[in-house]
Amino acid sequence: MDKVQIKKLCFSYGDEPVLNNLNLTLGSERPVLLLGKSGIGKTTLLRLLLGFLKPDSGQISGIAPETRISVMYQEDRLFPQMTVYNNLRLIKKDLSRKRAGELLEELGLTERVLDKLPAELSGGMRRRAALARCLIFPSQIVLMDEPFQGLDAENREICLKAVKKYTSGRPTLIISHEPSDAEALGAEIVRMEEISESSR
Amino acid sequence: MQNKRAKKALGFLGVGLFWLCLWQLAYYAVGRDLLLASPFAVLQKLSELVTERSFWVIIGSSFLRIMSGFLLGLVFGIILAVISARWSFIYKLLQLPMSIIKATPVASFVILALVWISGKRLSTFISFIMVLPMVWSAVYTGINSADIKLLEAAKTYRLSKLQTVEAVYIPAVMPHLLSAGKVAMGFAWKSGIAGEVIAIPKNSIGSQLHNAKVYLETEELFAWTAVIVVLSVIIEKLFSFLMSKAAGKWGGENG
Repeated sequence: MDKVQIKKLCFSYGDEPVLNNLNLTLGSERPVLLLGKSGIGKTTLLRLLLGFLKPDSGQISGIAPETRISVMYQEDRLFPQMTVYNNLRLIKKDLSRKRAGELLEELGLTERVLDKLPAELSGGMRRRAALARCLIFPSQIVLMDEPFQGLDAENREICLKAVKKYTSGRPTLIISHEPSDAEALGAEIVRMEEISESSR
Repeated sequence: MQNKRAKKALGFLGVGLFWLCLWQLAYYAVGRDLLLASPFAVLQKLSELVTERSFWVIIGSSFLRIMSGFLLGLVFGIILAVISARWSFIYKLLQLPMSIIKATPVASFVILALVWISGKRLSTFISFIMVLPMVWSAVYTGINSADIKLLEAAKTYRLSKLQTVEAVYIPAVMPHLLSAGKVAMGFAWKSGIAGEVIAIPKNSIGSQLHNAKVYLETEELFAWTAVIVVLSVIIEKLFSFLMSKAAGKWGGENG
């Protein structure tokens, strides 16, 4: 997958316009860090890219129905009755325990977390387990909605490194409130206000 | 922990003794064996009954008939709920008969069913018809309570239908199914026996109750009633135990 192109995308909830003539390109060279104040339509854009919402008008090219997309939602959305390992293996059948453990270690977690249910983990640990799922899914595009929220500075740094490593070479969109994440990710900063008329 | 258990057992024993004493006092007050049997006479009758082979045959037959109805209701209830959740017109179609079944007294069904089927199969049918709407309604509610956010995650991570059922739907359905199953189990047992009392099939607890009433054998009537109560408790505990195992696997409520 080379790139995802969004052209003149418009979307409104009823009479309330959220996105107006939004233009954005996600290339595979470097991720896009999307910044913007709350309620501006960042998550709406993500849901449009996922096909959960239908745009009023405009074009999204580069995403076909068969395109596999890794998603990190604002909520962890881990399957609560499954251990972390089973959550990971559910989306990658051939994932060995060793490999899963290594990935968790890259995210600052221990292998023991693999046998825990999401409810048995702290908020930060759950967030990183969800991040592991997003990173390990074999996909063509990566979409992340505030992936580092709730993480302390040390773990945030660890996760930024892992995200940079695992998303490289794929069109990636990361929604964030932290402009400083761009440097660690080697990402291009895009402000919502600059790409959508209604957000200005 | 052991101390706590002993305390609980003692408390239970105390409550039991209190009611037995009250029963004995009531027996003295009434003063007629025909109207109220004494707890000792009932206990004696029970001890006679348990030594007879026919007692166990009767219990086994009633149990099998009623439990087959329960299991049939469980299976059909789940299947119909899945179909109803998939196609809303099926739900609309089934809603009326299920509501009617729920509202109809057991006795009406028993008498009506006697016209259609043999007395031998009646308790199976009655427990089936009592369990069906409860399970149907619980499973349907469970399916519709599945977390939409998890369903979205399942979709984006390309989970198969079977994986989605395992990861999202079963955990959503289990708590509803467990509590409905427990109530339905009690209902199946009681309504099944009620059916037997009216249909009087051979080798059944219901027919024993009927005979005891006809021949004015009050002690036997009480003894069989005690058997029903004890069996009901055992079955409910057994069901709760099995379901708590399932709940452990699927994260539902315990018992």
